[in-house]
Amino acid sequence: MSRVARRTRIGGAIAVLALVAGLAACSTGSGADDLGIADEVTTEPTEEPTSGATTTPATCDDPVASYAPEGELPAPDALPSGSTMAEIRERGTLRVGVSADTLLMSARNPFTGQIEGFDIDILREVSRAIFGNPDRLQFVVITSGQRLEVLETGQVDLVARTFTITCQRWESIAFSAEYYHAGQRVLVAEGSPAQGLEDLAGQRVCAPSGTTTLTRLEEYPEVEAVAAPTHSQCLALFQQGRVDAITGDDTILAGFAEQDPYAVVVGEAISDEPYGIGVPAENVDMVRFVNGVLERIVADGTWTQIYDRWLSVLGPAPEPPTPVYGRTP
Amino acid sequence: MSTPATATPPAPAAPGVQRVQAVVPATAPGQPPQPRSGQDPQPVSGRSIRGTSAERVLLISLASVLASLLVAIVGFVSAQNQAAGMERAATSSDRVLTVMAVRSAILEADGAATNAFLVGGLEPQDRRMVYDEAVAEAARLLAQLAGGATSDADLIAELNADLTTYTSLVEAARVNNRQGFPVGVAYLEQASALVRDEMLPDLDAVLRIAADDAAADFGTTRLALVVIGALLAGLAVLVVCQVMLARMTHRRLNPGLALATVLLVVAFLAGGLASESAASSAAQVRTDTYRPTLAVAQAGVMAAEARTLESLTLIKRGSGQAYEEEFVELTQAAMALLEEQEQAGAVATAGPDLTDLLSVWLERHAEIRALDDGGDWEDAVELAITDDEGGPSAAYAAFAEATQTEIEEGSAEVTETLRGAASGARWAAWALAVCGVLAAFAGWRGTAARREEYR
Repeated sequence: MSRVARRTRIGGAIAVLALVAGLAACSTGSGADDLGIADEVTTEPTEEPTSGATTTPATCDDPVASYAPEGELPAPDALPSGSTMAEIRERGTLRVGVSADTLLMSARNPFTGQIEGFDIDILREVSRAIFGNPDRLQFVVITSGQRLEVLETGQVDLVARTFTITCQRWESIAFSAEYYHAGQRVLVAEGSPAQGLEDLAGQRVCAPSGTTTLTRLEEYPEVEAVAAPTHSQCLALFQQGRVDAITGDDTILAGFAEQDPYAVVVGEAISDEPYGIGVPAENVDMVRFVNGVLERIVADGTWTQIYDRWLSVLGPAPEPPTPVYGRTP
Repeated sequence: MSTPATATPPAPAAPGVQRVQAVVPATAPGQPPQPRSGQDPQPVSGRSIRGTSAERVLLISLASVLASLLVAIVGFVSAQNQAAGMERAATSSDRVLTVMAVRSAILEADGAATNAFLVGGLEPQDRRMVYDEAVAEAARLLAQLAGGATSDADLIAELNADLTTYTSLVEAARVNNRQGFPVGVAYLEQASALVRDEMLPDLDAVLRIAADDAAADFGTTRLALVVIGALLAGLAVLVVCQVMLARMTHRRLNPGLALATVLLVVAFLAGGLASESAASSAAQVRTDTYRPTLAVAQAGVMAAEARTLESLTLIKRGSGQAYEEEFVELTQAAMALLEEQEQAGAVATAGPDLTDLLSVWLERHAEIRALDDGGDWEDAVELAITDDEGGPSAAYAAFAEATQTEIEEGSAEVTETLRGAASGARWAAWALAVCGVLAAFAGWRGTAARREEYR
């Protein structure tokens, strides 16, 4: 009997061992094991670069001074060989960094799908000068914060995106002569007593990151600055009551007032925002060429036509900015 | 037992046993000892010896009864718990797949909204319907999840609130788009950011909790070991009892204890093995069906996310490289998951292979990228938004549908198997209880005569 007992016990021990091994093999493991995602990290899209230049502003004698055009503007079929323009013509498209949501300046028309506005029409004139055809533009939609980056990497040939000429930006890229003179103003809700940033102490004011607007907003420490990736994001936040006001260039704010009847632009311009077309620093010939184009469209009245087409809400067409040259590479 | 032991002079235990055997036949050969002898003023050692014999018999019968009852109780409780665990596992593994379905529905909605934006102006009615259905599905599934919420109740409440915010943002985008206001894009971007930055991470957290719950519920299948252990222990006690009783009484077999042993062996064969087989079928469905189904669901979710990225890359028009990189990463991961499952033969091959369907979509996607990268954005968008047979949208829809079928089949199989295993375990529980109680009864009755002898 005891032999039977021993055998039973030994058999039992073996059975238990087998069961433990069997069950341990397939019945253990955490939820993550079942999901097979123990160490997997879901990648988020890379954040919009927010190159908020808050270091000490660079100084230069005259930021708006650009490279003077050389002689007459060449015809599209007579571009100097080996020049940047000839290369672009060879390629077939002019790659331009633009906004797709800055109404009046450069915005995608939801009905047609086309990007259109003041900046776009200026670029179309450059395309016309290179190709004899204004439609050879290849758009790269960028945020304000990406403007320097796409030029530095050579991803685009030109950037026309409410781009203020500054000394600091001249350090990494080149600008055309000024083609539009904007000024920073403030947009508030209709009925607000505020007439400028100084009246908005303790309130939340939105500006896009990586812009001169945001830099200037930081000069008003009593105002709570809110940075957003794009101007349109500011308007969305404003409409949602998450900010009390938006500050930006009058051109951009005019576009906002067009979209929202309860938003008004108030006060005088608190800054000068000379817009230039951004060009990669090394393409001096391209800068001179663009300046030649700008001179021509000012001279033949095209500039005023473009203004009237897009920006008449800001008032009658002003005198086009007078180009300043004298910069040497 | 301890009281006599301390009263008697120090004597080793083993000689004591021998003395009992020697003394009992001497005082009353073949006859039970005097019932009242314990009260007579007799020598301490003699009273202890006779008391010990009676107590030993009583102990043996009590031990056999207790061992049998232990098997009945532990077996019943464990197997019932095991059954409950399997039923919970059926529910919680279903919940894991429901969380995946919410994720998929939200991404589907966002993908449709984003893709519709590419069309511009007045969105096509069928895109709108896809969006509406996906949002309704997400809301329905979230309500379902809220029903069984545990520690994830707060997260689910937040997800519900986020879904409401999400739909209102998409509405704002839509209203502005209809009027041609570019601020519509800003609302669409906010909506997408809400999905990616808030809702998906929250859903991941809910998913982890649900998966851990399911894993814990699958873990209860190991209770079969407790059942087996209790049975073996019970059998061992019965065998020891019989050996001891045989030595005391010189009767080789006690019919009651033998019957109890047989009953426990029956319990082992019926209950113990049933419990074990329920456990192993649950464990098997976990590795063979549950995990592959989860893998397919994950691949589906990744593809859904990639689908949104395809549209976002185009909306960003030239600066969407980061989205395209993420698209590649996600679809490669999805493809790897599916290939792994197909190689393991874990995925039913009734319909077309999921990897083939995914490949078709990726080929169509490559056509979009080729157009866009070649500077032909308009044609790229045209291709991206077409619903034509052979277009990328149709290819994606075919993949998504096949994935869904696969998940539903897998999910049904998991639930069915686990419910079957649970009823097996319940059967085992009752078999163990009945056999254990009968064994206890047999053990007690079988030793009754011996107890009388030694009173």
